[in-house]
Amino acid sequence: MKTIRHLVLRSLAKKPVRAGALFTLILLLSFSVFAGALSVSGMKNGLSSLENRLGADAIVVPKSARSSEDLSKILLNGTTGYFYMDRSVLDKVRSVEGVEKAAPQLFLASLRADCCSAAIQVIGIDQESDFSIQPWIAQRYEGTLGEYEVVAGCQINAQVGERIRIYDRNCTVVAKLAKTGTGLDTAVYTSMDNIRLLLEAAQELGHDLKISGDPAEVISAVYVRVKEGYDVEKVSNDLKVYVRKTETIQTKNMLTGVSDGLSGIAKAATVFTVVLWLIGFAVLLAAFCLMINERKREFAVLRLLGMSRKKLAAMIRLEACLLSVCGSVCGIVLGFCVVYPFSNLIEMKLGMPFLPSGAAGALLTAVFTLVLMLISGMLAASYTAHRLSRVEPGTVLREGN
Amino acid sequence: MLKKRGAIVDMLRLILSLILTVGSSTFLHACLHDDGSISTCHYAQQMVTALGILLAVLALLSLLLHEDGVRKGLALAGICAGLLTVLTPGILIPVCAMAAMRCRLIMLPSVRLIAGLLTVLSLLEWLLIGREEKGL
Repeated sequence: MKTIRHLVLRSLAKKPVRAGALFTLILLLSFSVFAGALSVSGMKNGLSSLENRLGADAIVVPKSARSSEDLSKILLNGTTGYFYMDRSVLDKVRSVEGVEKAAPQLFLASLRADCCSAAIQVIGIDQESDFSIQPWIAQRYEGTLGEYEVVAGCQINAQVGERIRIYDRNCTVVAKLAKTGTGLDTAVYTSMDNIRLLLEAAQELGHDLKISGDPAEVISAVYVRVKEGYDVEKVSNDLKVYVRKTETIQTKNMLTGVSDGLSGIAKAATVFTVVLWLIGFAVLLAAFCLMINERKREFAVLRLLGMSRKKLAAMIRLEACLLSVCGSVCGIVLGFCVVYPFSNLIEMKLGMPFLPSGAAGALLTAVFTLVLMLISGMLAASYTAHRLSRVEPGTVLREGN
Repeated sequence: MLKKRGAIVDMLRLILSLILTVGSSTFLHACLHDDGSISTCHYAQQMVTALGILLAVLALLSLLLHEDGVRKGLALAGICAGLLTVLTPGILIPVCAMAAMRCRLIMLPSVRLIAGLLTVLSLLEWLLIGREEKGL
């Protein structure tokens, strides 16, 4: 075994171009399999994270928000926006039969801050009644938000204890939320009292928020949870009828578009990865055949020197195994370096939630890729070794002469 | 053989340094604001360009000079400059707050990836020279 290992290492070192070409091929294959699998799981994680985070069956917004477009852009893409309606809508929503919980939210888009940032979406929540954001905040911060205290989404570049300036007011970050892979990561959350102070500050600075009526009596959206046993669609229709000048969006419908788009991309990515792997495997097989063909005389000499067919096959398999492991590990590292640091860019380009797997998921995908590439390499090597075993060494050497 | 490998590593270092230098002021540039204002990420970009030039000079010198001691020193300087480049955007010089900004989407991960690779290559070169010195 020691001799075989020595021969394999010498063979790889003496022909660096040949070994390099096979290594690069395996690297590219494992990169595409690993990055493809991570991307597909990232899209699926993003959608389920959004579903969990929304936690509402329907959302009531003013007619001025027009369609689910405005809201879904805020929630999915992190686009800033605001629209307002009278607070009395909340009581009307609560009075509709089938509504279990209703919680108001108030939106405000900050101006581009003076230091370095872009506009930030500020979302005001009623900490007592909120059931969509508050449970997530409670995981990181159990207290009640004091004056100018905010909770930042994970993509806001401010640490706990730091201050961010919104409309000339210094707001202290008391907690940061876990990543969701959605537009919710780029928002800042605060209490209703605080957001009203910020609304006043915005108006003092001459920012036109298009509020008709008293700024202290406005809200942007009402998140609704429907009682068990009631049909969400029916309750949504009742809300449309009883609460005038508003639009009721079923979160299920809002997510359907995303889900359909995601399923299409995920299918395309899976098919692309499988096709690429098949082509890659065929190329790998052809490359091994060519390599063996080129080294026929070398193997014939080894056979004449007394190496058995079994040992020769083991030598070819060991060479394939070494190249597969090294190429796969480098491909996996490359895939990791591309998918994780650029996850925000991928999310932006896809226009849908993207949340790459955690350490355990990534490790599992890496192991799967490594095993798949190892099997591919070994299969290609075993096939060529089998073909080689049928050739008589004497014939090969005579052919050469 | 080891000398040949060292030259290949130097060439890779030179190419990556040039990509970093040219890229940081072109396709990997920081945020541009319509009103002409400058964010701190702009200064991070300028620092990365300067460090890219330094890394390119170190790689070029290592390619041209053949004395092991000098090349080992240049590799060590390459490791330090590479690490400094990794730390520059986001840690030593802050970048924009929002994750959706160009500097955080493109410049920060690309610079860290290229500079990380340059650090690993410099480390590899340092190890190769060490083996050369031992006559392995």
